[in-house]
Amino acid sequence: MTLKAKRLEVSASPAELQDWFEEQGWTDGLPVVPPTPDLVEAMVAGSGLASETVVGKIAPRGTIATVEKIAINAVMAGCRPSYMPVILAAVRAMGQQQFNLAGVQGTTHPVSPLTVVLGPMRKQLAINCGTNVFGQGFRANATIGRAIRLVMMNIGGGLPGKSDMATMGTPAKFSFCIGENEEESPWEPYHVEHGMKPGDSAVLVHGGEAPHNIQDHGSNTADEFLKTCVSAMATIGNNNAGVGGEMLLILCPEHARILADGGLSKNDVRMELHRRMRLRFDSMGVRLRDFYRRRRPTTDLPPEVEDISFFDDPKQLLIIVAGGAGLHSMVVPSFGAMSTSAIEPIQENAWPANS
Amino acid sequence: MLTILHPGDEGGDGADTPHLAARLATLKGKRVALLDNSKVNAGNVLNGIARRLERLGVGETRTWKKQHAGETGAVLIKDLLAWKPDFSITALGD
Repeated sequence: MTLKAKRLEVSASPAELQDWFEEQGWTDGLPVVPPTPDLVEAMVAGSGLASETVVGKIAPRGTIATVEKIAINAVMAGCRPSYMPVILAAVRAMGQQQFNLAGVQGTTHPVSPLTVVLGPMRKQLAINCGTNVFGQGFRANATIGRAIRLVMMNIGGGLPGKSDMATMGTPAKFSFCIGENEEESPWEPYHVEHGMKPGDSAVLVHGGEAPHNIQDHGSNTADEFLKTCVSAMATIGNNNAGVGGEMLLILCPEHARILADGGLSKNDVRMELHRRMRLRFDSMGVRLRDFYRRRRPTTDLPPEVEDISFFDDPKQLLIIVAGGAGLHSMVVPSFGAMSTSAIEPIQENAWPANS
Repeated sequence: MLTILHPGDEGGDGADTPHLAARLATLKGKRVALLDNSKVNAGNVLNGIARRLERLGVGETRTWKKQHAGETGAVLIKDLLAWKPDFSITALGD
């Protein structure tokens, strides 16, 4: 294997090495694994593809991302070589025009690509889908999400204060990767809902804010729990209120069971929330209200219109099941209509086992 | 010493390298394109700039507006450039 990236000679002292990476602007602020040629070769091998294979161009810089360059960043993130097919699928998903990676990278909004791993690959790679699904402790989740961010920074040029103009940012910009808990879902998995076979593996990449809790320890009927969802989701302090777009509802297994026991399919949940969720103009200040009246597809509303449907299309409400025991679900509002989630198959020919 | 591989853009990787345009000797009679990013005050600021430029003697101003601040505006920019402005001013941020 011939690696083409420029070779740099650096101090082998751990402290000096980390300082040097930080000075180059190549880290997310955390220590990185030095991308030595042997580690990068192994990472490339994990992809099952040639090192010079072009995966895409990474906005906003538009730099070409080869398997080799992505592998270098995956090494830095601490990934296992077996994670490469997932990382490559996520990079391809972000490159889909509908995702608008340039907008996601440059905005003042606290958006970060959330990678949801779907299908059998989750088990192969020990991707956490259950307890503490958004939290620490699981190498696959932590490092796949981190590798994607390092690719966005180092290859794409998404650098804080230079092209990444996030006002506040979010902890989700360090790492944002989970698996769907299809085993504890009463419904079909997300990728099957979208036309794939159960045995397929894929990633869903959703440009989202950090997850917001939907806590409900009291409701034990579908109707009651949906009221809690509406209150937590139909808020005005997010981009969805102003410009529409998708939201990702992540139901914990117990909340999903309450809804299913109430006779609701996943689409019934979607349609019922779409019916109930209203954007109320009297809940906001005058200037914001006037601004939003002009911004949604239903623009130039007459003054007597007091509320509109929160979603322009019920398909904008994406639903998965994830997490463990307990009565906390999550909603992940998005960047808004400026970015639409993308689903990308994980290429099986790039899926080496046990590496 | 340790050998590591460069993780980023080394230059010449296919990304276009932007070059600064030549500075104009005068603003008089020039065509000015204004790109509104659709944030709340973008239009107000750009309108103020346009009026100031008109007092300085520019020839013509025209405004393009993105539907959303977060879209890249590639289609708008293509149309803007087809108008052949001498320079453009873009609203950024909030």
